[in-house]
Amino acid sequence: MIKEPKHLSQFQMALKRFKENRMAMICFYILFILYAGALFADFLAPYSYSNEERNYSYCPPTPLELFNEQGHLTWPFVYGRQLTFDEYHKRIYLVDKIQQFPFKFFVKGDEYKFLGILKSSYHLFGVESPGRLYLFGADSRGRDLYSRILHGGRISLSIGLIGVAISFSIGLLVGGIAGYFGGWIDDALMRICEIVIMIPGFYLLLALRAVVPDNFSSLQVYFAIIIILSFIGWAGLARIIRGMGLSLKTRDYVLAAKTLGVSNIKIIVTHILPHTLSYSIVAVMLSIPGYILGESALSLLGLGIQDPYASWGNMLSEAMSIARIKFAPWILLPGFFIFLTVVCFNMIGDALRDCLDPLYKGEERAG
Amino acid sequence: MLLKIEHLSVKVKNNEEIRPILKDVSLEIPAQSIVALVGGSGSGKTTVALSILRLLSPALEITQGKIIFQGKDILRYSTAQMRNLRGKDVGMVFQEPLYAFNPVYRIGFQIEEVLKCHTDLNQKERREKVFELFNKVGLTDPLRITQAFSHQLSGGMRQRAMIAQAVALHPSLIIADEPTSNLDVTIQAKIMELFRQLKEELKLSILLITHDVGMVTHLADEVVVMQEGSVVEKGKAQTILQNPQHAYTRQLIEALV
Repeated sequence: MIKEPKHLSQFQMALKRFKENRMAMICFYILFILYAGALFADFLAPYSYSNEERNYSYCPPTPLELFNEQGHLTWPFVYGRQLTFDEYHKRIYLVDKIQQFPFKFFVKGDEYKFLGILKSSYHLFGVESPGRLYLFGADSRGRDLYSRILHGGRISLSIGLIGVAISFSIGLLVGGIAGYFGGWIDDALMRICEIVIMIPGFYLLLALRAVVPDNFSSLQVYFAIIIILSFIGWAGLARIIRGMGLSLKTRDYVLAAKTLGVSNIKIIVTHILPHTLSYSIVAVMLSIPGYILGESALSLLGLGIQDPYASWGNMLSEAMSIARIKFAPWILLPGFFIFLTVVCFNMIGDALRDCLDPLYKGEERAG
Repeated sequence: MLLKIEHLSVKVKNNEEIRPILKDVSLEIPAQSIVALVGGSGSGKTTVALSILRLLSPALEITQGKIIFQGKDILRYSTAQMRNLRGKDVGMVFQEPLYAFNPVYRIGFQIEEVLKCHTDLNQKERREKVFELFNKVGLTDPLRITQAFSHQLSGGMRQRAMIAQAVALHPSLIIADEPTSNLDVTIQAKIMELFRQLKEELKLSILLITHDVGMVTHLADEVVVMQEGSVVEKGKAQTILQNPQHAYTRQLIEALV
């Protein structure tokens, strides 16, 4: 019996092409680490997002020391810090070489619920109290920036995914319906889209945020922000899907489905929308950064996630004065994470566009 | 009488300058018979077919006439009634099955889709039904075909799968819109044989739209000849083929030789 040659499906071919793109794979791993970090933030971070120590306000990063005073290699530890002020009342943290806090794994600390289920108070690493471990430095209230970046990632990274899921569902559905039915339904839906697109996004964001009551809990604010961001994002996609729908509905298989008595909504969902998939996957990837930046912008202005809850945007709001940046440059770190995430999503989106294109012939393009 | 079209006229909406697409078309399809609708390109054959399913392009409108199917005027049907009629009572076979199957789904899924819409069979029963249909239309190796995408099948197999989809719910009428014009001659003969066999087995009628007079000779019980949106001649197939009355019918027959 002759063995049939192995055929790759379109999906397998796309996956293969994606894996061959090293830049995109690196970005994928970075994002994977960031998302994993956010998911397991409770465990991976030595402190909770609200664990504060006012005596360590703007404490610079405490490096892990590998050599003791005698210059011998030892188990890593951190020195204690002593807060003093210079003649201009500027804070200065002196390294207190008498206090040594060894770096430890599975340290008991703030209590949390692992993945929201298991109660635990063990953290992957840390130092025993009263020592403080500030890998990335501390913010104004002496909270660990590293812990807060991990916790903040939960909000900043999830908002992109949930926001995109909501706005793309709306966009696909509205676009599909407008394109498929045409006529006055199309006109009405497209005029609504145009109204949404017409208003400058950021001001619409601010205006909608103003509608949300002040007394919302932070969870409610979180969802309010997602809904606000999604409300702005769907219209552009709907217009493009509508255009595709207009052309797809003239295909024979749509007519064939009609002659078989398949209902309209089912035709849209099974015969029109799947054909827009290669476009929408790329569009999804390229629009996630918009949501992350949107949330950051709102939180930066103090309109989004409120202290003490961490998001990369509201952590950056501390970095709004030049004096503080000069004095404690590490408070800009959340901005670097925003940048990293946005770049990664854009890179992946770009790579996906190439590999989902069935006519893609590799790097050597004519032109 | 299974289907009766009376004085059907179709024209382009809001446009008096273009000539009507159909002018006063009347035809009848008796139960369990094959009626051939012949005519040149643009003579309105497909428009007649789509009128029966009420799937005309939104730019066209039926200005007068009746379409009586099993004693009821389907032009008065609601959309829900129409959807129930499509697929269940009237099936359609297209000229180019490559385009009539959605390229992103497997063939099996698309045939099951019809069963899903109109029956409440469960997954396993649907699968069995698909296999049974494939057997009926002469597709051996049903397992492979259910798993295949339309571009992976040959033209003949695709057309058989298309026919399986059309007869899935045992409709009493099948509209076949030039079902063999894209197939090679040997396969044409086999598909024609399949139609004859299905007609006997499932006791259905076929409205065969074609411009191939050879196919008419082999299959049709009755013939309706159309030219520029009007019926110019109709009657028993043999009578018309042997003794055509209208000049256009004669031209069509001569074109065959």
